Amino acid sequence: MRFAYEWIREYAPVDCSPKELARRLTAAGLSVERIAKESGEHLLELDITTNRPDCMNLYGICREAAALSGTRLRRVRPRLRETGPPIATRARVEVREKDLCSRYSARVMLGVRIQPSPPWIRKRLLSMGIRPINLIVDVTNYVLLELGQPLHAFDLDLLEKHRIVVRRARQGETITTLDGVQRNLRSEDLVIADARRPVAIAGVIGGQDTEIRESTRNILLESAYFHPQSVRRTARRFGLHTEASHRFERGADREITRLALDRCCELLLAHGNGQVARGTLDIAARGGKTRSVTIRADRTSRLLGDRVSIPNITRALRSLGFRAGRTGTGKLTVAVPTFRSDIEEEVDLIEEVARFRGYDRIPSRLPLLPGRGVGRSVAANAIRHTRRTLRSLGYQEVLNLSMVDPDLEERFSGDPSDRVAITNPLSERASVLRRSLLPGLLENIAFNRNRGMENLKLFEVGRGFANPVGKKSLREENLLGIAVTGSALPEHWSRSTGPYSFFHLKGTLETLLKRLGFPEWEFRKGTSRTLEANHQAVLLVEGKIFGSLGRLRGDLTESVELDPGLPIFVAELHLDILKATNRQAGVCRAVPRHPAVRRDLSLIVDAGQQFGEIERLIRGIDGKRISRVELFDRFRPQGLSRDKMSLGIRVEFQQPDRTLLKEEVAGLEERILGKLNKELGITLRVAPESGHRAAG
Amino acid sequence: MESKIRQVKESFEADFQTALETGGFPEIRIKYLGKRRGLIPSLLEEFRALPAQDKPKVGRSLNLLKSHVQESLRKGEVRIRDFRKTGGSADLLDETLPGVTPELGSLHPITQVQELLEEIFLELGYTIEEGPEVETDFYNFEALNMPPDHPARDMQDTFYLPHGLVLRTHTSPVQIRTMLAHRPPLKIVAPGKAYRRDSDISHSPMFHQLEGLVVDEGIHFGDLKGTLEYLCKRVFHPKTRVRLRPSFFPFVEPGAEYDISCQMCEGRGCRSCRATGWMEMGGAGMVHPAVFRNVGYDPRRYTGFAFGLGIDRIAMLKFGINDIRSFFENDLRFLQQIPA
Repeated sequence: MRFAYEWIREYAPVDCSPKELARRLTAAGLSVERIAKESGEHLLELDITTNRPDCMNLYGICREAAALSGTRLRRVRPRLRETGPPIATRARVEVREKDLCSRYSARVMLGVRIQPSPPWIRKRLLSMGIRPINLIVDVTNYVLLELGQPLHAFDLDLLEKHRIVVRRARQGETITTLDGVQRNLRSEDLVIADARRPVAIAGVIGGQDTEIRESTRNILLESAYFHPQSVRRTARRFGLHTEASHRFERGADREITRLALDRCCELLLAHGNGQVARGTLDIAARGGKTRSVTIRADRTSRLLGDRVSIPNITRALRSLGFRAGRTGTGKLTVAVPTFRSDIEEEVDLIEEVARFRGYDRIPSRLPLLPGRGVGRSVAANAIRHTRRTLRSLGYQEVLNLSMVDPDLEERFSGDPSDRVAITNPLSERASVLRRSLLPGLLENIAFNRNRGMENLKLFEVGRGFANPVGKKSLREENLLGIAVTGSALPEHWSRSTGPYSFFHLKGTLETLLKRLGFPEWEFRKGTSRTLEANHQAVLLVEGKIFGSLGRLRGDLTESVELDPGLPIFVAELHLDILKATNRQAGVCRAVPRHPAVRRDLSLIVDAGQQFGEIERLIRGIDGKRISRVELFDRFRPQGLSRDKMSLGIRVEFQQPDRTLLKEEVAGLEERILGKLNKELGITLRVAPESGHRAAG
Repeated sequence: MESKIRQVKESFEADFQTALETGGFPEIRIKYLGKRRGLIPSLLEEFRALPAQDKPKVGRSLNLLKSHVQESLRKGEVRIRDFRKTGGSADLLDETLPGVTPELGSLHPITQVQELLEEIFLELGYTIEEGPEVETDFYNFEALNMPPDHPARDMQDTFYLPHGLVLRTHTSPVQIRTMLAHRPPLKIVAPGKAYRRDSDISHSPMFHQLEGLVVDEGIHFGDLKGTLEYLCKRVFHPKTRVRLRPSFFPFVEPGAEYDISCQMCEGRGCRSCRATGWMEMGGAGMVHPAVFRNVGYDPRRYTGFAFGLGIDRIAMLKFGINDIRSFFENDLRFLQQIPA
């Protein structure tokens, strides 16, 4: 909201500059965002928090400004001559729902003329962003801005039987509101009706039928207090947010209804030639006494970490409009002003004291109490390691939005029946929660390739969401996604760089698994529908699926307008497995002091033979002494038939406590070859090199 | 004859040096050793015609020249081969050729800032907590003193999901989850994603927050101030000043917003801080007694403070980024400018 410094000074004659006033208000919680200069006035642009409806008007700001500056606040004292007939002869008011409308005050003016407002009113309204209409409407708006009380003017002659009934709407009733929209009312809506039909939605908006028009001569002015939640519910259901509903929702001041009416009539009389009917119709629900709250000096001091005495407290609260009541030892009970709907308990008063005195005078301290001593959880640490490992392997981390395009998402994750759709998305292209990180990563590849970057190694850590069918809760899991395209290494003049392949991705995952401390894992043939059928694998740890990897299906690549022939390799891992698995990262074992013996075996195997099986067989011979099995060569030599392959396998033998004897190694080697031949029909291509060789 | 031999040797040396750079050894080999027109074979031709008494001396010189040329050419050719293979040998290195740069990835700038913040709080003895991004109304609003129909809910434009769930609008629900799971003393930070229905230069529908919560007997507002001051000095410059202003968040009372002295103008007032000298950082305050009552803590015994900060916002300030959305566009030319 914007208030002119010059206008503020009419009620709070502060002696400081606009800038200093802005500083004081900001320091007290009424944040001045900007000071604009407009036609000779300084407009303070304030950002009022929702708990301070009392400051959403000029007078409220003046109250604070005066308190903070030690200046006396000028009171609003309308002077009114009631020259018309008694109001009871002209109108009647009945409130049927006192819970929802605890006060309804009305005045009647007769013989008004519809004319434009004087320039000063128009200027003030415009400076606050309200379009001037005619004198009557403008003055009600002016009083709203000045005192914060929403007012509504009805054309009295258009009110059936000159009656006002505050009641709930009846099923099937409709009203055409000032914005020209016909609205269907429900019984939970509070309406202002005349003898026959609703003429306004209480606290939200008036009706067209009874609005002020050129022909209006007699008016009824409404000034009421409506229940905040009732107004809020109704306004929200109609998608309406008006100056009136904004204030009623946050809490208006029950005690200001008559003052606002009088101020309004005073201004109308001064410019409009009408007559004010004698008296005010004023219906108030019982109760609504002012609230009393007690504040203790020691509690205040302990919560703020600053010594505050009862005299300090009294001074602060008095200045802010609280009436000091009983004082006990170290205690003070105050009456909360009716405009401060936000003050309910002791801490609220403590805040009042603190903000009056200024937060900047409270001394600082760095608390050194022990926490729970957990630091980062095991799972969070594992995720941190994951990020760092991939970074050191040359991968770039990205972060994508959790909400994605439904079409692309479905291509990746399939059947959308367990997918979570956002009820009120910002756009269709971001309307569902992702179940996989891969769609986002694919879009990142497309985005960057379209900007000339061809070698991309990307990863993301983030959550995937699903709504298991038939369940009312959502499943949320931590995922790691990797997507790569282009060459395996950066290009360089000294070498040729091969393309990134399945085995680069697999190697990356193996390095990661090692880093995370997994003692073993297994890659098996995969069946993911997003990956090329013969170019994928699934990764298992402790018998559980950790994730899958492989080459992205060409039609998915094409769906982001990339060449379907472009190889893109992706992997996705379920990171929450890290919480439940047995890992031993960072455990040191003694380095063996005795040299290992290395033998290279050149084997002829069937072309379809899986390496993993050979490795398992070899290790199975002697898990203790066979310390390493490595594939170092794989090719088809000239002259070998098409259904055979040659594999070069390096086996390392080691005994921790002594050097293995030549004969022992030869024996093991013989058993390996024997077993491979018996189980898999594998033969030796050439005789192995003879003699021992120490491993490097 | 002797002078001819010297001339050939001199010309060879010159050609050899050139060939070291150009690699033109095959041509030199033909020029000097070629069977038909080679300079050395033709010298040998002349040698044969010499009188016998001159032959021993000239012959020695000639042989020396021939073996020198042969040896030089062999070495030169090897050098060239090595050079091609490895990018140069000791005396042939072109130090201006591009080096082989190891490939180095980097963490997303948001992750970098998040980890920086985590480190600071770990040093202070905080525990890092996490919570779900999909929340119930209870954790996201109600337990935080925002009952249904509370106008403060307007401050947070919420994404709604089926079954009455929401995408959390702040990381504050982690406060509630932690307090329900543990007794005081508590000293936690909860970093993570949050979501609001908003998108412009300074708002992204998904953003990152870090929530702090400290609860024990005797925790006061001065503790909150001290913590925020320490934090901001560590994150930014040690001379950074921190200002707390009263503000409103339903789950704290007294409530505050905190600002840091503008990092661009050091508080003198500039365009970045709209001439105020201050930049907004986040919300904070003393935990509202209603929140303690909601989690079963005795508000007469325990007090505590809570604060929030925008990780993306800090990243924007630290790296000089104007549009928050550029973090989630994932343009590598952008991301790789902030390597760590």
